[in-house]
Order: sequence, then structure tokens, then C-alpha cells
Amino acid sequence: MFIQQLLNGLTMGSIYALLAVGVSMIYKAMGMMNFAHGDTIMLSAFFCLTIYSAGLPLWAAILIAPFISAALGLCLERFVYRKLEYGSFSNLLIATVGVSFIMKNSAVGIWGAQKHNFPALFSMKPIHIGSFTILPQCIGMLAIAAFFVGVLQLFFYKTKIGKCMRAAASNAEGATMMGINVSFTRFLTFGISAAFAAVAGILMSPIFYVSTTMATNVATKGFAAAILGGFGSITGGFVGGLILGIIEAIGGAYIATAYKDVISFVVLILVLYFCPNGLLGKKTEQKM
Amino acid sequence: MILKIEDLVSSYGVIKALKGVSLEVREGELVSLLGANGAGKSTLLKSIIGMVKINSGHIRYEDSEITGLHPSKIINNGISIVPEGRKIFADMSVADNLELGSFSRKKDKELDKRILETVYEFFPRLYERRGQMGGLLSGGEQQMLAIGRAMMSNPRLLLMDEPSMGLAPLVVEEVFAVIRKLKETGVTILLVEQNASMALEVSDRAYVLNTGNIVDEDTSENMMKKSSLVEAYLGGGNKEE
Repeated sequence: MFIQQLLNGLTMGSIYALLAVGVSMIYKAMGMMNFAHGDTIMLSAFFCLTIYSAGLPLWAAILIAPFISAALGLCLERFVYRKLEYGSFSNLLIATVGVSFIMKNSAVGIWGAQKHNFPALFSMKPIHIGSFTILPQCIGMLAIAAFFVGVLQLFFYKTKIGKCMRAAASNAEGATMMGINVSFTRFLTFGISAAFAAVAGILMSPIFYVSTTMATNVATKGFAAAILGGFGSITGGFVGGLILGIIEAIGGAYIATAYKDVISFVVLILVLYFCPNGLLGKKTEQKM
Repeated sequence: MILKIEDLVSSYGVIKALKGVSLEVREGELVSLLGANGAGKSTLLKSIIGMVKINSGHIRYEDSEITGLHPSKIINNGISIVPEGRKIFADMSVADNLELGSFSRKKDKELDKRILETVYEFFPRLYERRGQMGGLLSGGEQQMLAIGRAMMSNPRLLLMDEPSMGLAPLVVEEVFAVIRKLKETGVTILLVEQNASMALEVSDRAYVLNTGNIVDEDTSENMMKKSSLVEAYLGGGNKEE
């Protein structure tokens, strides 16, 4: 039963992980909390569904949607957030809340407030391993999340542009002085983060259906997962997401399903009490 | 002439920080720019690399006008800077920090390797700690890292902003020894310093900046003799032992 719940937790955990990585990246690069991330997830799901409904094959819709979301993210950075001065935490915060409302209301206007079905991405036939049963979607979602996070990690640590993005996030002025175009790296960060939102949105759709409120709760959990793992850390976000998913599943099974959200936030607070920088968060300070 | 600044006026917000500064640096020279806190020294360096809004005047680098260009264009041109307060990348490894310094020029594996060897030869401690996060280094080591990072771009003109700031006297000696060695390699240096006596010892010529104006210009040798002037503009904190 315990291991069964652990496996169940990984399904939602994969979603949280993708979300956590998306919000963490933006926080790290720009010092802003992107409260519109959940709405980008929701819009991505609608993009994918709309392309599919228009008659394109599902795989094509799945491939195209992240690019549309990335383009949306890039536009938001270029035309909204960049106009507000980076560094004013409160201005940016309110701006993302505003963007979130605009996205949600536009979605209601375009697609309506009802739930839409989304085709299953994985076979529904459970796989039996010994006494445990796993749905293919659990393995599939975990694999996809791990794959994208892994690719992102390679991108940030092995490529020139990735290293420039990390440098710009670490010390914007220092990066500018090394000839790095910091507004471009920020621009790119937004695009990648929105593409991650799209991956999460598509994976969620068959489970949650596609609706304008599909990501509201999940987005909050994404932030919790990011903080749990250590805000600003990619691996931290991934691990935090999986742990949060597992805690939720196990807490829901052993204590009460009604309390599963409470349990995960209690754990979050406890973790922060003992390691204020999250599980994998590091604090390195510049010495003067 | 590697750098020629004419009548430069720049401002920080509403405050005019430079009020018509003219200055020249010739190939191979080490020029120090002295002045008290708030005289506009850092603003001048930031103006050269395009990080401060320029109201009027000209900056020419190797006979081409670089006034008002984006910093990424100026840094790509063979100018590099050791920033005030080092501004290293605290959560990246020492090796990554150094590599980032090389990104502004065209990729050249041979050159990368050669310069990296020189940097590690200059700063053996950076080699020992190459896998560590920059933020875990001591203040002096971070300064070495900032200098090494600037060297990685193989600059023709190196701008140094207060490299001795906040360092223990022994470490300051070390930094200045490195500056001397850098000069021997043939790189042209514009050095901003509050530690006037140390700066005058290593430099060929010096300018004194006071509240946005150049108030004196001379060879470092002559400047050292004008101790009254040095004291007047730089305060009493930088006397020789």
C-alpha cells in the first residue's frame, strides 16, 4: 500500500516538478514570482486542444502548442514585464496577477467556462509488477518530466547561452560587464519557462480535463514545490515537485483525503523551519 | 591612441556625475584615475563600456566611436573590465566564472587554453579551487577571480575599478603585483583607485578627478611629489606608510 501510494504520488509529482522548474527559472533570472504561470499552463492546454479539434493529429498539436506558449511568454516579457523595471518586486508581482486575470478571462471568453475532454495520452491498461499496479501514465509522465528537466539542466550547464543565462541570473550587472545581453537572456528565460508550462498543461489535460480553472490549485502547489526544493534551483524544483506529490498521496491515503492539501503545506512549513533555503537550496554570498 | 575621451558629460538620474571630462590612454600605458569617493571615477568607467547614459561628448576606442553603443558591443571589441565590488558569479564554479570571461570574444580553443594557463599561473589558488563556487572564495580570491575573468577575453584595454577595495593590506600588495605583471604582458590599463600612493607607484600617468571634473593630469612620478594635491583631493586615508 505504501509503495503503491508512492507510485501514485509520482504522477502528480511530475506535474508539480515541471511547474516548480518553470517558476523557479523566472524567480532566479528576474527575482519575480510569476503568478500567471498557472494560466500559461491552462492556455497551453487550450492551444493544444484547439489545434487538435481543428483536425490536426494529436502528436502535431502536442508539438506545436509549446511553441505557441513560448511565443506568448516571449511577448509577455517583451511588452509587459520589461516595461516595468526589473527589481521592483511588488510592481512585477501585481503585473503577473493582472496578466493572470487577463489570460483567464480571455480564455473564458474564447472557450467558455465548461470542461473540455482531452484524448488520453497513455494507455489505460495497468501494468502489474509483483503485487503493485502502475498506470502507464505514471511512468510516462515521470519519464517526460525527467527528460525535460534533464535537457534543461544540460542546457544551463553545458551550453554557452545556458551559462550566460545562469551568469545573468547570478549577477546581472556582472554579466552585462562580461558583454552578456541580459535583457536577451531574460527574454529567453521567459520563453523556456512558458514552454515548460505547456508540457505540464498537456500532461495534465487528460486527467483534469481542459478548463479555465484547471491549473489554479496546481499552480499554487508548483510554487510550494519550488520553495520546498529550494527556490531558484532546477534540480531542487524537480525533487521538490516529486516529494510534494508523494507526500500528498501518502498523506491522503493514511490520514484523510480531505486533508491532503493541508498535509503538504504543513510539511512545507516544517521543511522551511529546519532548512530555510529549501531542501536543495544553497546560499552563497558575495563577499565585500 | 587606444582610448580618447572628449568632453564627456554623463549623469546618474538627475545628478550630473561627469561634467566634461577629457582623457587619453595610449597603447601599452598604465594610467591611473584618482579621486575621492563620489568624484565620478566609476561613472567614467561605466560610461566607457556603455552602462551609463551619456549626455554629450565622445568616446573613441582605437579610432572608432563607441559612444552610446550597447555594452555587449563594446565588450566584444577588446575592452574588458574588473568591476568595482568584483561582481563575480557567486553560484557558479571558479572555472565557469573564468569561461564566462572568454565568451565576449570569438571562440578559439587554442587561445582559451593559453590564457587559462596564464590565469592559473598568475593565480595558483584559483586553479586549486577551480571546482568551487565563486561565492565561497575569500574576498581576495574573488578579486583574483574578477581579474582572471577579465583576462580571459584577451583584452587590449583593461579597465580596473577599485581592485584594492576592502582587501587586507597584504592582499592589496598581491593585487598590485598582479597589475604590474599584467602591464608587462603588454595590455593597456586604465586603473581607478582610491589608494593613490599604490596606484601612482605602478602607473605611468595619472588623472585626478574631482566632482566630475579632471583637476590635474601629470606623470605619476610628478604626481607623487604633489602630495598636497593628493591629500586635498583624496583625503588623508591613503598616505604611505
